[in-house]
Amino acid sequence: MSKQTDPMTEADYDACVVAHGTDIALWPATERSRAREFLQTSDGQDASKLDNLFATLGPDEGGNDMMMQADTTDFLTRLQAIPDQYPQQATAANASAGTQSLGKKVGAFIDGLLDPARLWSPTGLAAQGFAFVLLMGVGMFVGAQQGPEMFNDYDVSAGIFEANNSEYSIDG
Amino acid sequence: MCQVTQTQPQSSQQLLDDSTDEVLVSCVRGGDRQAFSVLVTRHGMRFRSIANRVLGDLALSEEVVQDAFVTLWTKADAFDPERAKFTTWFHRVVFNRALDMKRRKKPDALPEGYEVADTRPQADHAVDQTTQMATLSAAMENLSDRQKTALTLSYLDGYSNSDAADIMALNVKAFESLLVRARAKMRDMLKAEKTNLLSVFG
Repeated sequence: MSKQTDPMTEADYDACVVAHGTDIALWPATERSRAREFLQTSDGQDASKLDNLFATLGPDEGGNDMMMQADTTDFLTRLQAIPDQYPQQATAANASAGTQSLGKKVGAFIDGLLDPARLWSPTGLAAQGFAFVLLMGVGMFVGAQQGPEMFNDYDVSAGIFEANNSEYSIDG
Repeated sequence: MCQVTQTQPQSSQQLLDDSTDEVLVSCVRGGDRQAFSVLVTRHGMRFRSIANRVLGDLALSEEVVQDAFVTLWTKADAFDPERAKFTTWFHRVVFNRALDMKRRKKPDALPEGYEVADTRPQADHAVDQTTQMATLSAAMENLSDRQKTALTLSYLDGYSNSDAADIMALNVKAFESLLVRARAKMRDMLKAEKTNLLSVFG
């Protein structure tokens, strides 16, 4: 945009119309006075006439166009009937169907694991071997975490040998 | 959740009629058919007009708008009132569907020997509004799609710059620049028609 003291150009006028609307009274004071001068010029009058032309189009609410008048009732009736044709319950049904399909998938996965062809295949045997080693490793790790005294309660032989010790004592 | 609240004795229909679009959509989300019906009555024709401006085919325009309302009914969750006004969001839905339809639509081949009928207004009606609008529409056809959309949103649909920018997924400054360029181009084209169009308003 040119300086505020320069005469307004078509581009300046367009920028102001776009930013502030066609009502010059609502424009900033400096732009207002420049616009009034601009509108006295030939270019200004053309610009103003263009705005008048746009104004004749106006915001179209859909009922002004002659072509649009046809079958409006029929069209709106069809739109009003949409809830009958596309029930929202279908969405809930889809969600339910989705849950069912998840259950089916889990079932199919378990069936697949127990499939003899897969179970005794090289991959299946390797997987079982890996699972066995893993299980043993976990068991050893858990056992290593617990002290030996924890097992005394279950060590029947410890009590037997205690009794034997007193029974066969040289002192006893 | 439907947020229609009764503050004074009114029928439920009256309450819905007085509610904002955004509240009505929240009711539609809960399966409220009356709220949906109010939205259809309030906006159906307007959006058919908007689609028709893109497509120039009433049957296809109705198809597009019906499709958009089906989306509204079955997927009302897609509208987020925190992000946009309902009309802005729905305009975008209708407009994008209309553009998709336009891209898919292929012009029908004319039969051999077919001559286009001269539907132009008679000379004695050359100054009536139909002619002005036809000239303006013809000039708009020479704009780029984006310029045409900007002018349409601003002057025909009456959107604020902010809402129109939102519909076009632009920031306000970019939209205003687009609109300024569109106006300049329109003016240049219409200057050529000055004697038989703009002078009418002198």
